[in-house]
Amino acid sequence: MDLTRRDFLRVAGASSVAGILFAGCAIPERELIKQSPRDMPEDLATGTEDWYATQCGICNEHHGIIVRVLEGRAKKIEGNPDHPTNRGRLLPTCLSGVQSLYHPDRITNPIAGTTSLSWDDGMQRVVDAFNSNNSKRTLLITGADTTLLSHVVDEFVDASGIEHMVLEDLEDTVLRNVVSDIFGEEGIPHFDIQNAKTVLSIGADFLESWVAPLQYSRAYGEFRSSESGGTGVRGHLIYAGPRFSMTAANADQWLPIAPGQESNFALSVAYVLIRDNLADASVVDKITGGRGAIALAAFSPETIAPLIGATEGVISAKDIENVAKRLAEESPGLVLAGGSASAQQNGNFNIKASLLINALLGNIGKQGGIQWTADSPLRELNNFKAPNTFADWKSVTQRMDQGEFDLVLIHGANPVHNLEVLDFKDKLSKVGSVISFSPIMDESAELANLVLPDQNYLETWNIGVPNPSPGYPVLTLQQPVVPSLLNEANEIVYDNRPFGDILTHVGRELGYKSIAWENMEDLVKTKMSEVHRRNRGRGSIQGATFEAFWAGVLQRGGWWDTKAQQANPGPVLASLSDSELTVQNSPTEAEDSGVYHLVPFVSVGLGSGSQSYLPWPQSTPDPVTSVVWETWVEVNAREAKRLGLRDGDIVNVESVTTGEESSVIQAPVYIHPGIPPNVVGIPMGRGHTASGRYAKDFGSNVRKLLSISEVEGTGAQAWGVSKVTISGTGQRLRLPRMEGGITGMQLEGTQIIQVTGS
Amino acid sequence: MSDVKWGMVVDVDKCSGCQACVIACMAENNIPINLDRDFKENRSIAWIRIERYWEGEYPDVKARFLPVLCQHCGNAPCEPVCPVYATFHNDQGMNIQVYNRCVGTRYCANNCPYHARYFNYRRPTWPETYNNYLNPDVTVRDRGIMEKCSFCVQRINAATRIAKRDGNEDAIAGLQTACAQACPTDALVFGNLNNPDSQVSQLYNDERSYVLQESIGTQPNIRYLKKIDEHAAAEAHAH
Amino acid sequence: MKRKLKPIIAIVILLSVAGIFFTVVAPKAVAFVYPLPENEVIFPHDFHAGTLALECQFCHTGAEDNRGANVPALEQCMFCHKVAGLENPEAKKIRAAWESQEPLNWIRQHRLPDHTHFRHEPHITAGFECSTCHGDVAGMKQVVQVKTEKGGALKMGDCIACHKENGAPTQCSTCHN
Repeated sequence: MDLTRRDFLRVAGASSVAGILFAGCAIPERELIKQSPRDMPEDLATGTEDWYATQCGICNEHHGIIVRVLEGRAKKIEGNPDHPTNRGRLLPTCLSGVQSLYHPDRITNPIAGTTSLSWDDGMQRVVDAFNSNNSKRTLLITGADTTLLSHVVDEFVDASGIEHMVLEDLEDTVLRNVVSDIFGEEGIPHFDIQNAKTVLSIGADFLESWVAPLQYSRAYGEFRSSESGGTGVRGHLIYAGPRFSMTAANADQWLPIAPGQESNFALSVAYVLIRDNLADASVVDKITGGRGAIALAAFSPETIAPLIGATEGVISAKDIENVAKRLAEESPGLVLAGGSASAQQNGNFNIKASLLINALLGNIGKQGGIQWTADSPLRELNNFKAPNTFADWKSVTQRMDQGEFDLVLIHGANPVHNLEVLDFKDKLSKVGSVISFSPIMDESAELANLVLPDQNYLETWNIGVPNPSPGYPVLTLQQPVVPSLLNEANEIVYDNRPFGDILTHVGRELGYKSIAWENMEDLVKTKMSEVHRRNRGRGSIQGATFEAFWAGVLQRGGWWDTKAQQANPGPVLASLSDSELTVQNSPTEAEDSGVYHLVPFVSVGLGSGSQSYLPWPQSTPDPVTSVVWETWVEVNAREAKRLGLRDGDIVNVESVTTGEESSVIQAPVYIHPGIPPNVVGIPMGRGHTASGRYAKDFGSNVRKLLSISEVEGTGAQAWGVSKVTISGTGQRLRLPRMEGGITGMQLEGTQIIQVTGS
Repeated sequence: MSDVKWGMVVDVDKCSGCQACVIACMAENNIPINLDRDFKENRSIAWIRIERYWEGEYPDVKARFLPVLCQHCGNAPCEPVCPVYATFHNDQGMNIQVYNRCVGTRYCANNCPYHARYFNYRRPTWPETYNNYLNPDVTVRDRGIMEKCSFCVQRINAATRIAKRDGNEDAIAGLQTACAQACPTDALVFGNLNNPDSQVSQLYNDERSYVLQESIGTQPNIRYLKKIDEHAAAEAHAH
Repeated sequence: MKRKLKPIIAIVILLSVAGIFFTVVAPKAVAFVYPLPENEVIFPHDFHAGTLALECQFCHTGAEDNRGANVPALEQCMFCHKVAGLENPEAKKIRAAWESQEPLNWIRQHRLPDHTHFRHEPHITAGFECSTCHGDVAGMKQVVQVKTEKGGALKMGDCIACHKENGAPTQCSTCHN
């Protein structure tokens, strides 16, 4: 009986579908019972439950998940307890994967304009497009991705000679730049929060958006634990930055620092460390050119403290002294930097100065410090193309405008939404032919002449590399956990194909020799057999034969080698030049009143915008404000009172960054007791004009207001320098949020949240 | 039967407010999608929610996160007011809601000091394709029914059954609720309070543990661990 | 006083009429007649379970270790019907469906009421016969729900009575959650 497993699921699955269909005309009701709103789920599924290990495709961390599957339906996503980066834990966006798999607005088949195509036709059109267009005038845009799919893309790009650009949702260009400057290493290292005793975060919102929030959230739990593992001591967290973020809310101490003053703060901390002989002497010599504390004398806390506060007098010299002492004495101390600190004009230096404190504390390559990963066992998964900088995007949009591209292909990115500040939509519409591989009709796909929907990650093959790796090599395997969903007529509901398979097919049709594999499944298997061959007797899965190894990898959701040697850190390469060693005058010159620093941010549940087509992320309350389904403007409570703004008042937020065109968005005010009075915070991720029913027309897109200037010396977007004014529109709305939905019942003498000193 | 007593400890110091528990609960328990109008009308449903409390204002501001779910009280105010016995207490320390008995008087919700009970004001609706991910072990509640945290009773039933079948208590010892399973920081710990070696019973008797609104005398099976804040404690000392 | 009483009396009368209707009249008026399944294929349980004496779980594979007993997949039918009953017109339908890879539409006779969760596995592993609840299927041409001693098909009372007899848990959340 040559019945494949897939066929079997097809038959078995469809027979249960039939059960649902005919349920209506089965047994007549004979009891007075309350009807449930739909066929009960216990009627929908009767089969054996299975758990498959695979990779999360919603966030970009490539951690492990396990999926509960019943009768070919993915029921629930849970964390893979074996996987070393998340150990069974998840964030809200990762849990929402099942909603992307069964999304009602998922594109069902290839479409050109309004006509549906067959896959053969669709693929042929791509081949034709490549044949009829000059490859020099063709651009492929992909999202940031550290998986085997990137290798397929690279091979395809090399063979075809087209241009390729990578769009990162939240730009980490500055961090990568600085790491390469100071340590001579490519990529983002592992910040070992778990084993640190003191963590100073300078603008890095590591619990919600910075680099790898799930990995860091899990580490944060260990960091705060005094019972087992880690350091055995409850870690102490200090946050320095202009906005009261979720990470700031979790910190033991929040230092509200004005945007742009991060380097002054960091160097002042460095000064105290050097002055009090708390720093690694060789590093001190290197970065000061042998001059020691004298070199940094201009950064004494007494001088710096009055300069750096978000408002006058909020930072004292003693605060800086204490931070430095705590980092040195409660060691290991670890400094993280990013977020708005990296998005200032002097962002590169802000991050450099901050990360240099790690070198001074002597924690490079140590537990509780900054660690590098040994090379991945697969060459293809070592050097991923670094995402392009904002400056690259500026120049490419200009070239589009000048008609330099005839064909643009877009996969895994939504540049029309993300680069709204560059009028990407306008520029893209000047390109003759646009092909999108989006599974949802997003803003970019709307402009495409041809849409070939990419298949969901729960239905496809891949290998992912967690970025950053946890200090040793990890490969996460992605396998199809469900067969294609069938409708009552036994037709595939979502007739999508994996992007990797499309590229492979097109590449082979075009005669590219370097594309030597059949499809993604074939490639994944070949690469895993390489891993098996080269790592006999090493790693989490060992097998005498490849079949045994492969079965183990499928079961455990990947391969990792926790005993692998860490890469040895090289010496610190960077020093501080004389110009860097002069106190930077506040780049935030005295302003007219009524002008506010804009701090855009990412809320942990919603993500940066690519997940907002899913209803669960949209309805996840922001931890600090508890707002859902809406973009809000955080305004300081006293400032709002002064302006006569009430909660829910809709305001015009107008960007007035010097020397730039202004634009306006409308959003309701959230009265915030914690944000500095000269700062407003607005979350990213909403304001879609397409992307399905759960994203379209909810909130506004703050990216429209961001400055298009660049961080000096990097080409990254200096979105942190944006300035705005706010003015009432006279309209109000009731902010959708969890807070206030329940009447408080605080009883006399009962503390709801009780606090203790130790 | 009663050699188990389920309980939970919530470490307020570890909770980062990330909402993973909230969504994990929705995924496990077929909770309807909360649209913006549900929030505007205060009719959203979340068996576990993270409350945020402000302390002070800029620049000396604190925000503290507190996960709140049904406290599974030993002396539950919701139980005596139900005219149809739709909510009762079982011998494993759980407060149970029986959907097919509930007639929707909402007395129980009004009497719950923790506001942990949610009423289905509407018929839950979602696109048909989303039926595919519903958990077959959990009933979809219709309009007019009260619902709340069940301590993932479907998981408890399954583990009990498996333990009985295999004659092996491992299934019960390893049991977790969906929220505790997802929590990235280990702020939620679930387990058997009658087992003195379990992590939950050790934390239950930790010196930091306290009961939410203890003065009401509800005797919950959920306890909280105090937030650690050396600054706040130092201030309190100074006063 | 009188005016206030009137509506109450009306309600009491209405309720009693309704009560009588639902307890005495309705059960007789709405006879418990179940339509025979109009399946595409007439499946003779009496032949398979009776004459051939196949075990129920030979086809209903889920009963021993799962929630539902499972309406078998076509593959299960083909286990025998590749070679057995080649001339039988009903079996021919099965082979035709198999060749075109079109699943058959079986109509369920046993459905659970809403808000109720039932698992076969613990009942079968505890040693109960299928016939305890499903009746003598081996003697049925086509499956129908069986009546219990009290008349009518299985009801919650039957579940509870059996659970009490056998010391199984009887709290609501065992089946309703």
